[in-house]
Parts: sequence; structure tokens; C-alpha cells
Amino acid sequence: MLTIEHLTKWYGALPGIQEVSFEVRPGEVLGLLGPNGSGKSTTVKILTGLMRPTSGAVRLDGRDIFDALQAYKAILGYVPEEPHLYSHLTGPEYLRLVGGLRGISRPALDEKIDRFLQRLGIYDDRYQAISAYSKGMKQKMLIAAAVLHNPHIIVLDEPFSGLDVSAARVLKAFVRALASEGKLVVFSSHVLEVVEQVCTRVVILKSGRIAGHDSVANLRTMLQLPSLDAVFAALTAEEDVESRLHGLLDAVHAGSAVSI
Amino acid sequence: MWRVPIADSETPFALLARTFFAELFASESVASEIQLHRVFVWVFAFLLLPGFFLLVQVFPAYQIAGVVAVAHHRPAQIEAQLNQILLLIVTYSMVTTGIVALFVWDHLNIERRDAMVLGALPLTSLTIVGAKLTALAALLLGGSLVVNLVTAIPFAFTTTLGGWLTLVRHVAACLVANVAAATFVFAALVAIRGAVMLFARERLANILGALLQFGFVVALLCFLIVLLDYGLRPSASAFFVDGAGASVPTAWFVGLFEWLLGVTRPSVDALATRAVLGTSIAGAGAVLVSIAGLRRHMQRALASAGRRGPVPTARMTRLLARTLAGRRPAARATAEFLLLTVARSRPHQALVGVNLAVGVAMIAAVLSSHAHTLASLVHPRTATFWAPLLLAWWAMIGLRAAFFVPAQLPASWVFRSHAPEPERGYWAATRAALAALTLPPIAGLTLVLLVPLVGWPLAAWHLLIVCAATLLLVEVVALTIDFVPFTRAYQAGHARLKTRWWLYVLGPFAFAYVPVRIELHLIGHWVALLEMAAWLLAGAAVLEYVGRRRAHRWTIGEPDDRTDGSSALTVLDLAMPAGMAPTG
Repeated sequence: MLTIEHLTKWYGALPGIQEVSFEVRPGEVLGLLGPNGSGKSTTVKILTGLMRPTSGAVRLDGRDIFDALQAYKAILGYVPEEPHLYSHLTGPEYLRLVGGLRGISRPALDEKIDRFLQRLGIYDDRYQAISAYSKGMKQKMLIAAAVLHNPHIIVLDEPFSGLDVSAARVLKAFVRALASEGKLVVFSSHVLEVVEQVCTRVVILKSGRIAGHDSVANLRTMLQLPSLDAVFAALTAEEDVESRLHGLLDAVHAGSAVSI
Repeated sequence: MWRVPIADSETPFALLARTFFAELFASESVASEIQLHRVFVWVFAFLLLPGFFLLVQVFPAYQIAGVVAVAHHRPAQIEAQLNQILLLIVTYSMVTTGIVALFVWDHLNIERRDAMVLGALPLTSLTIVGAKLTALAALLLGGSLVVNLVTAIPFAFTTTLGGWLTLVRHVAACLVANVAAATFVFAALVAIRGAVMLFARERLANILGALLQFGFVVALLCFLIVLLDYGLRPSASAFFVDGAGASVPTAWFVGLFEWLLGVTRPSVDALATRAVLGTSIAGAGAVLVSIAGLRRHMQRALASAGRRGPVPTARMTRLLARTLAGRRPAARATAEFLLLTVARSRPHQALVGVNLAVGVAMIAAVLSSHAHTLASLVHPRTATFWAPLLLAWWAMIGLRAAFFVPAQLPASWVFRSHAPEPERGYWAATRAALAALTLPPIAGLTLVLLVPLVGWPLAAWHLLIVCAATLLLVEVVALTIDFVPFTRAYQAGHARLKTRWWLYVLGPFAFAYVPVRIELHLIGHWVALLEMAAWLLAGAAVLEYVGRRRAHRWTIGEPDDRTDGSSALTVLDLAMPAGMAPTG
């Protein structure tokens, strides 16, 4: 079990997250929700060991992950929010780099990569540099790289970005299947419908603090709201959509440059 | 009716031209204004150096020769020497402009990205192409005026005997001729790259760019060496201006200078006509390929990215690097990554190429001054034997410099996220990559160069020494790196040229000259030669042991504690002072 205890992160005098605590159990998909700037990315970076918290701890089965960071990283798969890939490499070359760094032997790796490329529909583009890939193809590369070594913990940050409907459906089922194998999955996303479909429980962050933390069904029942969308709006106390809409239209019309 | 607004302060054309101009200096390794200014200072210092040599070497020599010619009543000799100097100045102008153009090679033409971004905006093709050409013209004029003013004014003062009006005419004629020469080279390069991009693939344009860049840097350095060994040779001038060399563009612009001064010889008229025609054709070519390029990209922008064809794989070199890296998957994967990055990244290739060009220029200088006939090279001598070692030295310096320049820095998270803790693998990968990238070409060059000259047995012995010395150098260079190459933010001044300049000056002699002198002394004593190779290999083995022991110090980047947004991370990290720059 992954336990997050009183995580706090300060950027100079600015708080990133404060007193964030939750846990991720084997076999479940935990959704991490929050508006921009709520601290999702900070939480994800700490969870993946890419950043150390100012205070608090992330424990895997009771042991602080920063005490054995490499062992933790060895069983972690991570899909980052931004598709930063070495675009001068081809897809297979990138996966070979990741697999090699993960210590996977070459014959096994080549076989795995072929399977991934075929299943993800990018086998025909295997000789192309990643710079020629579409956003969806790059996202598929990130997903393949994250699960190449059969990790025990998987952290997905906006994994459906750029994916077409069909690929997104497959990935949703894939995430649920990984969880059903007993893996720990953390799923950070802005797409509430997807989170509602995929996640067992959700943690909603607002201004670096936890605004809500429970199963989707419990949150809906507790707040007597029909959807996760409404729960999210209520917990993050978002500005009224109508007033935002009017503000945007005002901005469009202000000093209008083009008229008919 | 549509009404398209125009900003009060700046027209879209001016804004676009300014943006295109700024884009010329965009680089991943130059992330702040201060660094950019430093780069400018270095580039201009590099380009202006031969100009100052012109001032101190050539002009005084001309004045002395002029005094002698006047004393002996030989006015034709003065004219020939004047042409000789002009040839040098024009050559200098053309070569420096070529280097400036190749410095911004990737931005010489309108790209697909420009078409995608600008195609959706209410801008005419004329505005886009005009703005691009204006930005390029600003670079050309700015660069060539700085370079040519340095030579034109002293040239006029040195060569003018008349009053102020004559002096001004000389300056103006010299400037016009040199700027025209620069325009010819610049426009020709824009047209060539544009045509290659239109009719071939980007990869070919990249290869061409790398080769041209290498050629121009070699030309500039050879030019510098020629100046250092300068002696006025009027016969060369006559060859270029009146003889068979008149078809060489350099001579055209010497003719243009004379024509501007009012010389009316038929040969001068013909050369000036060629200069005007050549510049016009190159300029028109640049404009036409820019228009055609924009149209082509506009059409392609609507389609998907499409296939670009397979990328270079460097299969044999990778195989060698994998073998040398050892059995650890992380080492093998890292070695392959390093090789593929060098094979596919033009900025990194350019760094290696520029350093290799220094080596080529040194070899050319020694050969030109010590070997006047081919027959003089067919026995073992330093001028030929040191060439492979000299190139190995400069290739290694270039590779090391390239390793310190990041390749897509944001993507280096892959090492922080997926890679194991600092271990021998990265050190092993780096030395394997260094060896794989230098040993095969240097060995091949040794055989190609020496077998025809000194025969198989001597060439084979020298190959043994070259390989052993190169391996030793690989181990030395690997000891000076402690991170996975290409994954760290660029640290300005890491080469410490101010304090280590002597290493760069004496290094080639210590690594190339001294071993070759010893080897030449030992030729015929084969056991002694074997001992020499054994000593070099033993040195490499000792350094390999030291490197293995120190490999645990290697870093793959620290956890990032600075900010939340990953895209913002790179920019902020890069702009930090060198000492504070992160390693990941």
C-alpha cells in the first residue's frame, strides 16, 4: 500500500501543497482531481520521486520511498503530463532506451516492443523519428514506456491527452485491468467523465489542500449531487459557469479587431 | 465586408520580420540574453580574427612592396599586388558570410511550422516571404558590414595615394564589392537549401548543411594560415583575374571593385558583369525558392505530418558501441542513445565538425609549407603520420564539447525517471560512444591516407600506434565527464578556455606530434614499436581502472525542487547562473 502522509511542499514562500494525506491500495485506481494550480502536478512529482517534499512522507508498505528511491523507481511506471520525448529517436529506439535503462535484456525487450507497437497501432511507423509522430502517437509511446517493465505502481498524469476515442476506450479498460492485477494506480486528469469511469476513489485538490477524498459514489451521495462534475464544482467552489462565460464573451468582443 | 486591423505602432510585416530575425538566434543551448551576447562576441571574434591579421600582415607588406615598386618604376607590380590583396579581402568576406549563413542554416528558409502558424492568419504570401527575406537581409547586411568595414577602411587608407575623394571612392568600391560578394554567397546558400528542401528531404538538407559548414570553417582557417604565411605573389593574382581563375567567383568581385573605380579593361568589364549577374541570379533564386517553399508548405500544412523516410541508424557504430559498453542493459541503451544523438543532431555534429575543421586546417598548413610535391610524401614523415592523430584529438575535443550541450533537455526526465542510480553503466556508455565514434573513422583514414603513400607494412604499424593512442585519449576524456551526455543544462564556460587555453594549444602537439616523432625514430625497430604501443595501451588500462573506480560519482540529475510546471522548469533552469544550474 502506498501511503501519503502530511505532504507539504513550499516553493520559496509559495505553498505548492499542504498537509496532503491519502493512500492508494493494491487493486484500486485513485483519481487525482483539481483545477489548474491546485497542486496535482506537485503531488504527482513527489509520488514519482522526481521531487522531494518539504515535509511529510510517501511510504510504500511502511517504508519511506526516498530511503530506497531506486528500488521504488524500479517498480514504478510514470506517464508524465507533457509528452517530452527524444524526438530524434524512432519509437522502437526510444522504447529500447527506456527498457535498457530499466535493465530489460535485449531479446525480451525487442519482443515486448514489437508487441506494444502492434497493439498500439504504431508498428507501421516504427522507422519514423518521433518528431513525425502525432500527439496521440507520442502519448502511446509514453504509455508503452511506462508499463514496459511491468511496474507495480503506475502513475498516469493526463494519459488520454491526444488519444482518439478508440484508443482512449482501450486505455480505460487497460488501466482497470492493470488495477485488477493488484497494481496500485494513480490517475491524474482533468477529464471528469473518464475519472468517473475509471477510478475507484478520488482525491480532489484545491489550492494545495485536499477538498474531498472518497469514492465517487460516496461523494455524490454525501453532497447530494448527480455527477462527479457537480461534486467537483461544489468542492472546488468554482466560479459560476455563467459568469465565466459572460466574462469570456466580453473579452472576445472587447476592442474587436474584425467586424462583418 | 471584412476589415483587417493594422496595429498603430507596428505593421504585421515589421512584426513578422522582427520575429523571423529573432528566430535566427534561437538555440536550446543559448537560453538567456547574457549567453546570447557571449555567443555573439565569440562568433564575431572568430570571424574578425583573420581580418585583423589582414591588417597587420598584408597591408604593411603591401606598403613596403609599393615603395620598392615605385623605386624601380614598376607600376604594374603595384596593381597586381593590389589585386592580390583584394582577392584576400573578397575571399575573407565570402567565407565569413558563408559561416554566418551556415550558423543559421536551419532558419534560412520558410519552414512547415511557419506555414502552419502563419497560414491561418490574414497575411499575404508577399508579407510572409518579404518578412523572411528582410530578416535574412538584415543579418547579411549587419554581419557583412561589420566584417568588411574592418578591412575596407584600412585598405583604402593603405592603397590610396590621392585626396579624400579618392579615399571615399576606394572605401565605397571596396564595401560594395565585398557586400556584393557576401550577398552572392548568402543568397546562393539560401537558394541551395531552399531547392534541396523543395525537391529532396530534410535529411539531405541537413547533411548538406553539415558538409558546407565544415568546408567553410576549413576554408576560413586555411585562409587564416595563408595570411600567417603571407607573401605577395603577383602571379597568383594574374591567374585569378586574367587567367583561367576568372571563372572563380572571388575574381568576379575583384573585377567589380576595379570597374567601380573606373578601370575599363575588357577583362575587368567581363568580371564585373559576372559579379552583377551572379549576385542577381543568386538573389532571384533565393526569392523564388522562398515563394515556392511557402506555397509547398502551405499545401503540406493542411495534410498530416506524413512519413519523412527512415532516419540514419549508424548500425555498425552502434554495434561497436554496444559491444564496448559491456553487458549492462543500461550501459548499452545509453551508448546507443549517445550515438544516435550525434548521428541525428546537427547542432552537435556542427560542434564536432568545427573542431575537426581546425585539425584539417592544421594538416593543410603543414602540408602546404613542408610538402611541395607528392613525391616528398611517399616516405614516412611527420606531415602525413600525424594527420590521423591530429584529427582524433580534435574529434575528441569536439565530441566532448557536444556532450555538454543538451539535446532536448525536457526529455531528459526519462533518465531521472527510468534510469538506475549512478553506476558504471553511464561511464562505460560514454567511453564506448567516444571510442565507437572515433576509432573506426580514424583507423580507416589512417589506412586510406598512408597505404598509397608508404605501403601496407608501415601503414599497419602506424595504425597500431594510432589506435592505442586514441584509446588512451578516450580514457582521458571519459575521466573529464561525470554525467550522462546531452542530459544536463548547458553550463557556459565549462571549457574554461581562459585558464586551459594552453591545453588546447599544446594538446595536439603532445598527442599527435610527439608520439609520431618517437614512432618515426623507432621505425625499423619493430620490438620497440610494439613496446610503444604496449605502453600506450597500458596507460589506457590504468585510466580505465581509475574511471571505473570513479564511475559512482556520475549523476543522472537531481530531483527537481524548483517549480511545478514541467515546461517552465526548463526555461528557468537554463537561465540560472552556471553554478546553480541543475544537472537534470
